[in-house]
Amino acid sequence: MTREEIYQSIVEILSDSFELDPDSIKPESTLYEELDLDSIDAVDIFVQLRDLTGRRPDPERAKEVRTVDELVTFVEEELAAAERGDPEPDVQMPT
Amino acid sequence: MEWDVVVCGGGLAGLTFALEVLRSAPEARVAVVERTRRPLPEACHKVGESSVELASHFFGERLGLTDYLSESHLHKNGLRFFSGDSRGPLHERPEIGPPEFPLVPSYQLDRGRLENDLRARVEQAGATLVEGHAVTSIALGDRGGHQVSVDDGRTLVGRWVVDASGRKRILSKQLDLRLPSPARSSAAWFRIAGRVRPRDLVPDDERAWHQRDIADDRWLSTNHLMGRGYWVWLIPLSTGFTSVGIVADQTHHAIADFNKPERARAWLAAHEPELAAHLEDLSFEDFRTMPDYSYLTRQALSPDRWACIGEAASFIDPLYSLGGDFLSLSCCYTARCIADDLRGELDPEVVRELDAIYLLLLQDSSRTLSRNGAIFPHAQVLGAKLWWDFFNYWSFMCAHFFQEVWLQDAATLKRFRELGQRYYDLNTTAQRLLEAWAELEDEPFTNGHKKMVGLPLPRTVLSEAHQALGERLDLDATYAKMEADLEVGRELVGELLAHALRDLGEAKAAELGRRLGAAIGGREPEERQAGMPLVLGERFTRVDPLPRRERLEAYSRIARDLERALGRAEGDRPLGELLDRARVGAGVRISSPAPSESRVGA
Ligand SMILES: Cc1cc2nc3c(=O)[nH]c(=O)nc-3n(C[C@H](O)[C@H](O)[C@H](O)COP(=O)(O)OP(=O)(O)OC[C@H]3O[C@@H](n4cnc5c(N)ncnc54)[C@H](O)[C@@H]3O)c2cc1C
Repeated sequence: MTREEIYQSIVEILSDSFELDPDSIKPESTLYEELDLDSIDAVDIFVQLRDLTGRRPDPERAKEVRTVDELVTFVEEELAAAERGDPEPDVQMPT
Repeated sequence: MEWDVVVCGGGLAGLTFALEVLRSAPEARVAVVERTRRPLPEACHKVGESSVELASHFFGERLGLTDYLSESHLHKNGLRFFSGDSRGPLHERPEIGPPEFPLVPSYQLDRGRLENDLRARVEQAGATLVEGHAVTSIALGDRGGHQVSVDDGRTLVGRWVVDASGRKRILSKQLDLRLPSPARSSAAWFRIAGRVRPRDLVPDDERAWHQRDIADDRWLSTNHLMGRGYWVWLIPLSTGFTSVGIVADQTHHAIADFNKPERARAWLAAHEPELAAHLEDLSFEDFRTMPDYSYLTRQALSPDRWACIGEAASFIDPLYSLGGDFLSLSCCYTARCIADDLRGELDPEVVRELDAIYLLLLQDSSRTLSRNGAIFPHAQVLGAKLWWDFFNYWSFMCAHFFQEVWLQDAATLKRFRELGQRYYDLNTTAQRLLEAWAELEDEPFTNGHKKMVGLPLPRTVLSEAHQALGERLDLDATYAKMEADLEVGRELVGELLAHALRDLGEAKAAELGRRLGAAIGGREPEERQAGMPLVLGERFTRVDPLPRRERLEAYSRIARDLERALGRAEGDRPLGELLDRARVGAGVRISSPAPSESRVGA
């Protein structure tokens, strides 16, 4: 997946899930301030990102993501980790 | 008297019951008369392979079989449903199921293997197994005990007699206990050698669909392919086989269309073409049918020291795999009474209360499991139904069992049963709403707003209700939690009304209201049992039109959870206005019908 494809997928997830106008989403948009999302929304975003990455993300690293662009980079790194076959972080998701 | 208990039939109910009696009363003299002999065939023995939380708790925790079940059977990945267009590709059908392997365990059981092993354990525990002999008659006595005649000419005399003969229903027939069920469905099932996994039906290049299933363990779920008036199960067995079943409501599908292997294949080709194509080259190891399988009972447990357990008492429907749950309830309730009796402490009022709670739960589940065929292909409605049904199941029926309320005295049992009655009233309203919602959809199927509906979605009221089953609470805390959960349940069903109204829109709101009647403050429709009125407050008027962030802040937790899980339908009019139309339809007088600014108070 190219960076652009990842970006498009993320815009789609954000606009479909959170009633956001796709045109209002920019690479530099901050998730929690400009896009007005909260921590529960973040949980839901990272669950949906599995469709792209096929991996459980590391929650510590996920917390550091602030902007749409950083989210794209995060997905890129997850894809690279998947490619290398890196083990997933050992976290038990609550059911 | 020769025996403390004579058990007629040693299937899943008879065997687990014998273990439970000997667990709570190790000195009890227990005889189990079972017609068939070992070894029973693996894979193709009996239907009833998927267990859910309650039965799994009984088999695993109470009977101490957790290690055995983990080693010799399969840990199950919850229940998973594929709704929407049954003729379309599987990866395009909305999926409803656990996104992560559930922490509360349940199992896929190979019935032949299980019953072979349980027979050995029952003997080890000290019961006498009379194998290869049939019960020919039961003569109920009073103080002298009950007489059970066996086909070798023997008569076993027992202080208690317990009918566990499955669909033979020896006692139920004799005492005319059978009650008709509102569910009118039939089933056909067969086993395939090897695995039939959902992923086998989806092309490899559908990466998003495959990747969503991170651990590649969708196949360990009981997978349900849902269509109008029917569903198809896929259950993996530890012996390497896959059980496949067709379950269809007779008002939608005649059993004659799928009651032979070649007819079942043709039926699947018409309704589930992808599965049919996959099965084309695979042979059926067996093939069984059961027309009109559902029945209820007037009574299951008597102070006169007899009981019917498992399918000798009732069977509602295989959806949600509750057969094993009702089997567990009847086994445990009966075993408790026997243990009390052997200690000289039998309270007839306890027996009556346990029978009454069994019948109430049966009535409740039977309401949940009948008349629902129109719902299955509508992902939005099915998702809503599953959220409510699971919440209801975990919050009352499971909690009552897991927290051992059923071991309490008669007064306590009664207090909890009265609370259970209120859950039932709310369930009546919920099911009426869900049925009406699906029936009023214009299209034969709908995809809803989500590709994947988490059941339960992590970090929601529902996932917490599930996890709470693993926590031990004392009696007062259990009662308080059930009461609090009932209020959450009321909010939940109110939310479902909001989703239904937005989804159906202006044209259908009045008709939805007419069908709900008193639940939204109107007249009770004729021939409808009263339900519980819903709370219709500001959420419908002031809150709903707010921008997302403000709306979320004004929402209850369950409102947000449901929106996360199910998404949000467009809604062609403001929700307050749709509610007004519904209430006019229900016969409520509103000063100015359906004005756009109207307010409807709580
Ligand atoms: C289509 C369908 C699907 C189902 N799916 C599920 C599911 O997924 N999960 C679930 O939990 N439940 C399911 N069930 C229900 C499940 O089959 C029953 O809960 C369970 O098998 C009942 O066990 P039992 O011991 O009561 O009856 P059985 O297993 O039938 O045992 C009765 C025993 O009594 C013996 N017997 C009969 N007559 C006599 C006699 N005169 N003398 C001596 N012995 C006798 C028989 O040989 C038999 O071993 C399903 C049922 C149907 C119809």
